[in-house]
Amino acid sequence: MTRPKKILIADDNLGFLKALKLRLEAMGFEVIQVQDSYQALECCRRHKPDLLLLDVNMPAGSGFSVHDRVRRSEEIPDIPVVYLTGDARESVDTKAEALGAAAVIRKPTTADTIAKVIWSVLDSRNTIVKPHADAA
Amino acid sequence: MRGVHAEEVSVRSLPQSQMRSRLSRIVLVIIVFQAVAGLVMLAVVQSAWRTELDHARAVASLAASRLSGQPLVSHNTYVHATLDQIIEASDARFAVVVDEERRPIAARGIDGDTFASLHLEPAGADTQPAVVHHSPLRLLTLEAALPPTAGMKRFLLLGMPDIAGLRTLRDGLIAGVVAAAITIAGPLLFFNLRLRRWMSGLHELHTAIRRLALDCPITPVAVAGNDEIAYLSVAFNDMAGKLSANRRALLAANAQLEERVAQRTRELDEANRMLQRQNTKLAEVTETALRFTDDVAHEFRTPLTVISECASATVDGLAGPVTDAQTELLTFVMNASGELSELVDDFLDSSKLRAGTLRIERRRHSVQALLDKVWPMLERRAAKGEVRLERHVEPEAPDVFADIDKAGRTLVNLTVNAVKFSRPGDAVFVSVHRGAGPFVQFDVIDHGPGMPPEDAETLFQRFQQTSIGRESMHKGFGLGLNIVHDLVSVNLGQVWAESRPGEGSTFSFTLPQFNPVDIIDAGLDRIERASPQADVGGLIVTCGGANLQDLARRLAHAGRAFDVHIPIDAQRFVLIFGPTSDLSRWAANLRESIEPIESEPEDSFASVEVLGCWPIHQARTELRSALTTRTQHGAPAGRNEPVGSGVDT
Repeated sequence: MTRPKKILIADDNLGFLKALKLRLEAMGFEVIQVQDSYQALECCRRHKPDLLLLDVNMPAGSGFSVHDRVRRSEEIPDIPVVYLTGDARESVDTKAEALGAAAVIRKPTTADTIAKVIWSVLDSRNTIVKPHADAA
Repeated sequence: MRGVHAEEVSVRSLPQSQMRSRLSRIVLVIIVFQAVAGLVMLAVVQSAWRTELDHARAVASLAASRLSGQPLVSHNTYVHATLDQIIEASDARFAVVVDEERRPIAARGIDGDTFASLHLEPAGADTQPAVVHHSPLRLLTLEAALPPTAGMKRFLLLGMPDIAGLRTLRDGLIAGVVAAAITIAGPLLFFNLRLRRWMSGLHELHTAIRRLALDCPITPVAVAGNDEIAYLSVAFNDMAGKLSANRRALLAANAQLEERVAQRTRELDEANRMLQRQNTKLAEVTETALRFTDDVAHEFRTPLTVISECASATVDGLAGPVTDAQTELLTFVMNASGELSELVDDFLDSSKLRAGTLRIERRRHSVQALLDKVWPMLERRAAKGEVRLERHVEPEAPDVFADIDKAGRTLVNLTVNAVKFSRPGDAVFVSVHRGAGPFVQFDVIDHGPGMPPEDAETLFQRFQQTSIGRESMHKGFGLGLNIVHDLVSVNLGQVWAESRPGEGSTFSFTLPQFNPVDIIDAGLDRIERASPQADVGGLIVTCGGANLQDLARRLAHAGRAFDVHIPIDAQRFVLIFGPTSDLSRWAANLRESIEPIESEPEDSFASVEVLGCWPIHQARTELRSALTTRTQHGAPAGRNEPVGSGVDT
C-alpha cells in the first residue's frame, strides 16, 4: 500500500481547518494543519508535504509569500500549491499564476471539491495545469 | 410673426427741391405750350385777314387796270364792262347792278343761290357807295355808281369777303386765347403753390417715417392748413405717438422679461448645482453602501463554508457517532447555510453584473446537459417545499449557446421562486422547447397565487430599470429573481413572465440556439438594447487547437460585458464587441493577448483578422456575409440542427 499523501493546509479559520481535516482524513489523506504563514513554512520544511493548500490572507504573511519562499527553497521547490480563498478579485489568479500555482479554489466550497482538485493536481504532478482548470 | 427690424425698412428718398423743380417744369411747359398755340392761332387769323384785305384792295386796281377806258366802276370813273367781265376781273363772288331804289336790274354770280339770298338795303339819298354789312354771307359788298342809263341811276354791287367780319373774328380769337390763358394759368399757378405746400408736407412726413423706420426718436410732424396732408400729418402724429408709447412699453417689458429670465436662470443654476451636489452625494452613499454590502457578502463566504463543512462532517460521523435527531438538526443547518451561500453568490454576481466584470464563458451545450447539471439541486429545493418537480424536454431540442453556470443559475432561481409560491402537493413544471426565432425557450410553470398580468409584464422591466431596487427584495421575489434578467441577458436571451391571479405564473427565458449567424444577431440585439446608436466591431480570431479555449478565456478577462465570442470551428471564433468606436485599439489589445500564445512552442498559432466596425444595422449584414464566406471555405459552422431563419427582434 502506498504512503498516504501528505497535505499541508494553512488557513487562519480554525473551524474550516478542522472540518476540512476531518473530511480529507476520511478520504485517506494525511493532513497537517497550520494557522499562519510562519508555521506553514516551518511545517513545509519539517514534513515535506506532497501538496500545499494555502489561504491567501493569513497572519504573519500571505499565502503568496509562503509559496514564494517554498519555491526558492532548495529542499522543497517543487511542491504543488493550491490556493483556497474567499477573495474574488482577478489579481489573485494573476498572482497565483505568476507564482506557478496548480489551482485556485474559491470559497465557499466543499471538501469534496477540494479533494477532487487535490487528486487531479497530484495525478498530473508533472504536467502543467492551468490555473483556471475546472474547479466547480 | 416675423419681426421687422429697422434695417430692413427702406424708404426711397426724393429731395424736396427736386420735386419742386419737376412741378415748375410741368407748369412752365403748359404755359409755353399755351402761348405757342395762341400765337399760332393769331398768326393764322392775321394772315387770313391780311390776305382778304389785300385781295379786296386788289379788286379795285385790277378792275381799273383791266377795264381802263371802259365806263367807270369806281368813283367818278366809268368803265364799260359786262357783269361777267367784272366778276372775272375782280374775283368777286357776284356782281349786281341796282337802281336807285336798290332793286336789282341785272345780276351775275358764281352761284345763283348766293345772289338770290342777297338782301339789299335801300340806298340813302346820296349816291355814295355804301358798305352793306348785313349780308348773311358775311361778305363785304362794294358798291359803285354806274353811269345812268335812260335817266335812271345805276349802281354796281360787288360781293367780296367780309374783311370787317374777319377782323372781329381775329379780335374774338385774341380775346379767347387770352381768356383761356388766364383761365388755365390761374388755377395752374394756384395748383403749383398748393402743390409746393403739399410736397413740403409730404417731405416732412417722409422724413418722419424714415426716422420711425430706423428706430430714431419720433418727433411730431408740423401740421399746416386744413387739407389732406394736414389730416395725414395729424394721423401720423397720432400713430407715431401711440407707436412711441408702445415701443417704450415694449422696451420696458423686454427689460423686465430679461431680468426675470436671468433671475430664473440663476435660480435654475442654483437648483442644478444643488441637484448635482445631492446626486454626487447620493452616488457616493450608494457606492459606499453597495461596496459595504459587497464586502459583507464576501465576509459571509468563509463562515458559511465553516458552518456547512462542520455540519456535514459531523453528519457524516467524522467527529464521532451522531443521533438521528442530531442528524436532522444538522441537515437544517446545512440547508440553511446552503441557501445563504446561494444568496451570497447571487448578490456577488449581481454586483459583478452591475460592474460588467462577471466572467462569461459561453459554449455549446445540450439542453439535457444543462438540465442534468442543476436537476439534483432543483429536486432538493422542491422536496423541501413538498412540491413535485416535473420536466419536459422537446425531443431533439437544439443545442444552446450559453454560459452553463449562468443558465443553470437562471433555471435554479426561477424554480426556487416557483417552489416558493407553490402550496405543498403542487407541481412545478420545467418545459424546454423551440422558441420564436433561433432560440430555445425554457418555461417554469407554477400553480401558485399568480399576479395581475400587467404586473407580470412589467416585472422584469422594473428589475432592469431600478438598479438600487435590484438589491432590495422586490415584492417578495427575492434577490434570485432580481438577477435573472441580467443572467439571461449575458446569455443573449430574453426573460418574461405571464400570469393571472389565482392561476399561477409562467416564467420563461430563452437561450440562443447554437448557430454562429443567429448568435451574432442575438449578440447585436443585446448591444442594440443597451445602446441603439452604437458602433459594433467584428474580428475573427484563429488559433491553434488546444489554445482556443484558453485564448477565449484570456479575451473574456480582457473583455467587457457586451463582448460575444462565437466559435466558427475548432480553430476559429468571431469576436463581436460594442459599443465601440476604436476598433484598431481593440485589435491591438487582442494581439497583445495573443502574443503569449504565439510564443508557446510548435503547433501553437494565433492570428486576428479585423472584419470592420459598423453601425449596428449595418453590422448585421456585414458580419453575416463575412461569416457565410468564412464558413463556406472552412469547417461547417455547426451541426445540422434546423435553425429559425428569422432575425431575432
